[in-house]
Amino acid sequence: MTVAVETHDLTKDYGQGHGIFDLDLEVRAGEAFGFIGPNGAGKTTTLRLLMDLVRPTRGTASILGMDTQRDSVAIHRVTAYVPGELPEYPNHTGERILDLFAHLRGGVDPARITALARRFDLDIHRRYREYSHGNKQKVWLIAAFMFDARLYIMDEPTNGLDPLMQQAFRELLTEAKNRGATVFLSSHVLPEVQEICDRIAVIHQGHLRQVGTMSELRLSNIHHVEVRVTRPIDAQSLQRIAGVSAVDISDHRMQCDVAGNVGPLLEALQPAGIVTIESAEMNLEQIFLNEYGTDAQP
Amino acid sequence: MSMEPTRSRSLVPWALQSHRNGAITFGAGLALLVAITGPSYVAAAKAIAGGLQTLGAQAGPIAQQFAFLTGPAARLDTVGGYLSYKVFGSISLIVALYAAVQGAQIVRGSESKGLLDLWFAAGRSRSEIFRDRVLSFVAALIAIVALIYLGTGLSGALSNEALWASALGQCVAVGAVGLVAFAVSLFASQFLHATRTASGLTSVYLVASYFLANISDSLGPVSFLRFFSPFFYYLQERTLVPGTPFDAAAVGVALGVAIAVAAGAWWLFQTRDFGGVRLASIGATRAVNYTMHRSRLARRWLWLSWIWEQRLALTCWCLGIFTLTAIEAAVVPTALNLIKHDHGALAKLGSGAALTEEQYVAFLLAFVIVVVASFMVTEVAHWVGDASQHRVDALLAHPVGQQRFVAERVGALVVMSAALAGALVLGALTGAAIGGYSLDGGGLLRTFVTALLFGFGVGGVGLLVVAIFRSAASTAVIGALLVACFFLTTISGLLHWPGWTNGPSVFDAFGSPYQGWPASGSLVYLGALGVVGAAASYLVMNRGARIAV
Repeated sequence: MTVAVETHDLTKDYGQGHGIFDLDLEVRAGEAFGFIGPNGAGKTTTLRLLMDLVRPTRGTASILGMDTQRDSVAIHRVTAYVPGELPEYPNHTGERILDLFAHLRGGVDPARITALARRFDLDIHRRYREYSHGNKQKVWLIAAFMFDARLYIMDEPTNGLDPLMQQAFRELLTEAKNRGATVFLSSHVLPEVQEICDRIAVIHQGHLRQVGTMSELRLSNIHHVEVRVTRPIDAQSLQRIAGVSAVDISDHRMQCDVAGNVGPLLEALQPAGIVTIESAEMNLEQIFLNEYGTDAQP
Repeated sequence: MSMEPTRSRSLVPWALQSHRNGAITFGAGLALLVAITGPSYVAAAKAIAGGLQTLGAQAGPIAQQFAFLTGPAARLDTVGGYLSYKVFGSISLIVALYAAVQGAQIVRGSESKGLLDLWFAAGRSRSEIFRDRVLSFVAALIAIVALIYLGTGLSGALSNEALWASALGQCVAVGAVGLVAFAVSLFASQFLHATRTASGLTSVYLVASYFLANISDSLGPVSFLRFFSPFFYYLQERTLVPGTPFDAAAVGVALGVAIAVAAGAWWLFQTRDFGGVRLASIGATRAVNYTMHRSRLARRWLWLSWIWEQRLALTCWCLGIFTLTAIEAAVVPTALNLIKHDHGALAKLGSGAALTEEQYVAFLLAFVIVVVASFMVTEVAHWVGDASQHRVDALLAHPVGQQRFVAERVGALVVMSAALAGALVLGALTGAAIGGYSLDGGGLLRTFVTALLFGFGVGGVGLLVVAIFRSAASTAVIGALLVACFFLTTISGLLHWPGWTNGPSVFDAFGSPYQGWPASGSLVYLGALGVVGAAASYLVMNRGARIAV
């Protein structure tokens, strides 16, 4: 297994608990890796550390076997980056911005930019200041896809894109993956992460909480269960069952989250006369909210 | 439950806060300059027999020769007269340039940052936003003028001359000029997307009109042009000169113009789109164009791309320097003639030789270098904008190392400095041609090289300051450093300080290259500032925790 991105004890301490701490991560070559977490969790900081835009307080990071600080230029030659904070070029046209970055990168075929502009339905001859947020985002996506990168580092890449354009983005990402490229993206659009990413890392308050495939995260986590019964239920007895949480009982209807085996729960409900049972695997968003509370916006 | 919406709060307190540090620093700096100049003049007078009377009589004719640069010189036997001649002309221009920068910023600058949309969405009307922003600047300007007034009064008190009453009228006039400049820039910014272009164009107008007012007596049939200069009205209010009464009508005209122009800006602001310009032409609807063309301008060099980005602003500054130098140089023979007729033998200097056109030009070229320094302050502001608007991030995320980034910055700096130095020399040549005299090619070459080194040196320090501070504080720091240099050069001679005290001043290092090469140490110093500043900025960037902002 080749490692595309590797961090050891990577820490950027901004003080007062802000930053990213002791991050140990491995992203395999050719996989799509999702990075999710609430606002201020440290996602953007991690991506900027990898791009050598900020320097770590301690720890190391390497990309494609190269040190992110020492070999940053070599890394940037083969890496496409979409920033979370879009650069402002108010007086430039999209074409001029892309022209500048194509020249800086070298070897970019203008026909490829034209094709990407068509795919994203972006008139690159308009001024950047006239673009909507979504169209500005498209400029940086085109800049990322205008060459064959070995690694794509993307911070909220679909921010502001309409569903059609999100689809176009996903197709491009799939093409890149089929080429063997690695993708490392942070996103707020959790269904998108589910759809695109092979593995996901959950980050919260600067610390890595979980890493795994979707199925691994599901196994390690919870089902949402809804049961209709004919007789009253003893709520306290349910809460004593290992793995059961968030019990909500009203009018012969019970909802709760169950981590692991649901057998003990069903046994406890048997005396109440079960009429119907609905059980759903929690999606990423629900797992996230369950893990970090309803106030933790992903 | 009441559905009555709450009234949105005025922006004035917030806006005042945003002006606070800048206005206080700026006003205090000018106040300090005035406060020290008076006692320094008195100290210099004490060193000669006859004191102020003799010094005033000796300095008067020489000062009069430079009236087109500083405004008329009168009653130099008094501290009030000296302050009015020596510093107040420059202060009125400096305050006007400051106001021009603010005039472009308060609406258009906030607009380009997206703040206006938020204020509008928060329930403030366009008129309220406009009024709040204008009022906050007026309050800041009043604070600046009050500080200058305090500095002037203090200067008088330290010189045993009561200036509290006479300073009031002249300070009010400085404020009136500032308001006109502010209003003109505010008006211009309604037509332009880039604040720097609006303030640059206004600055060109202000600098040209400053000299126009100073030389209006020699303009002949076009002397009516002086009425279009705010400085003409200021010159009517030189109340620090004993015997000059306060001319309420002149201040009234300046204030009236400021209000009318600001009202015009308000009307334009009411009738245009946010983020748009009043005179934008609406082209025919065209088909969506996806086609990418290779640029005619090679963008593989960042320095060239950066210069291209700010070509309009750079052109404005070059044009301003060219115009300023050309006007100054063109009126030199006229000024010499006036002196010859009006003062006769007084036109002679201590050496006994009358001033020549070339000596005049040497002086004015040294004066215009201040404008090159001002450009570098705006360039530092531009670099801060590059960082805060994430353009530096975008570049460094591509295959552009920090070494190359700094090297390309230096490249742009050298080319821009060369453009400004070229405008300086071309302006002098053009002015001399208009004035009917010739200039020494060697002197112009020396001026070009030294001005280029000056720009490079100041810019190099600017690079380091931006690498350290990475915020708007960088602009304040480089501005303060330059003011300190200017202050050192102005004061150290008057106070007979040892030569080394003036050593760090870039203005002293620039010297008067038209007359001869500056000392080799000065040239090395200017070059070293550029090289060391750039190298240090790379080290700070490379070893710092934040590479980009």
